[in-house]
Amino acid sequence: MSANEERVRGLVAQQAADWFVANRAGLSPRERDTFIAWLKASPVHVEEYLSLSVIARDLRQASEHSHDALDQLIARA
Amino acid sequence: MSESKKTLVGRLFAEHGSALQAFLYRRVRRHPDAAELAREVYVRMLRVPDTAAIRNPEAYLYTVASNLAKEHSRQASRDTRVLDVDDPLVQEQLAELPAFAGQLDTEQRIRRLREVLRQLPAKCQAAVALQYWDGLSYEEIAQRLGVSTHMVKKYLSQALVHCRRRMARLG
Repeated sequence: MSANEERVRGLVAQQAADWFVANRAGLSPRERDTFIAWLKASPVHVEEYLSLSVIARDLRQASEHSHDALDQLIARA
Repeated sequence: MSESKKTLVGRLFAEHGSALQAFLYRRVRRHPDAAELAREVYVRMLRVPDTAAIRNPEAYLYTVASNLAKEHSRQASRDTRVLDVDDPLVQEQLAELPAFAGQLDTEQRIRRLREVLRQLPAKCQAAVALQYWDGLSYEEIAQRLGVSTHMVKKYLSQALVHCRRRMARLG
């Protein structure tokens, strides 16, 4: 991947993550339209979004340890 | 004895028309496309130079239909400029995609993800655990961490991007 491609990928990953997080809270009809338009804009967008859903599926188990250390983490924050 | 071409094709479509449409629909998953392909099958059947030479007209009909459906999906997969997420065919393809996660076994992936999470700032890690383990809403996480919900979303988004980047090579 060229440096430029990498930069674009990074941007798309950020957009995908923002949408992923926004979706959990629920989208307004207008946000939903924007989200669908974003998905339709490029197959790369769809791919990124799906990659995040794969990661999110594993995050519950992966965060068990952080949950045990939660008080410590919050104190440190 | 041998039927005229038009009569034969007409009879085939009278007998198999709806079965053929269903056959095509199973392959292309879009009713307008299936109907159009069925018309194209009809046209192609009429173009066959010598229908008398076809030993099994029914089988021939479905072979033509099957070839057209294949051509159609090849064309559809080349045309990736616009993605219709409401299209059942697209949804089917999308549903298959996350399977790449199976390349690494789950336990290995989760162990790796745990390490990747530890690289994040404490508040990010806490936000992730509160969402994914405790299932708290953004408002509840915000209260717990003493930050705005806007910040909570930022932490969670940052965590996802980080995990995605560090897990990318495994995908």
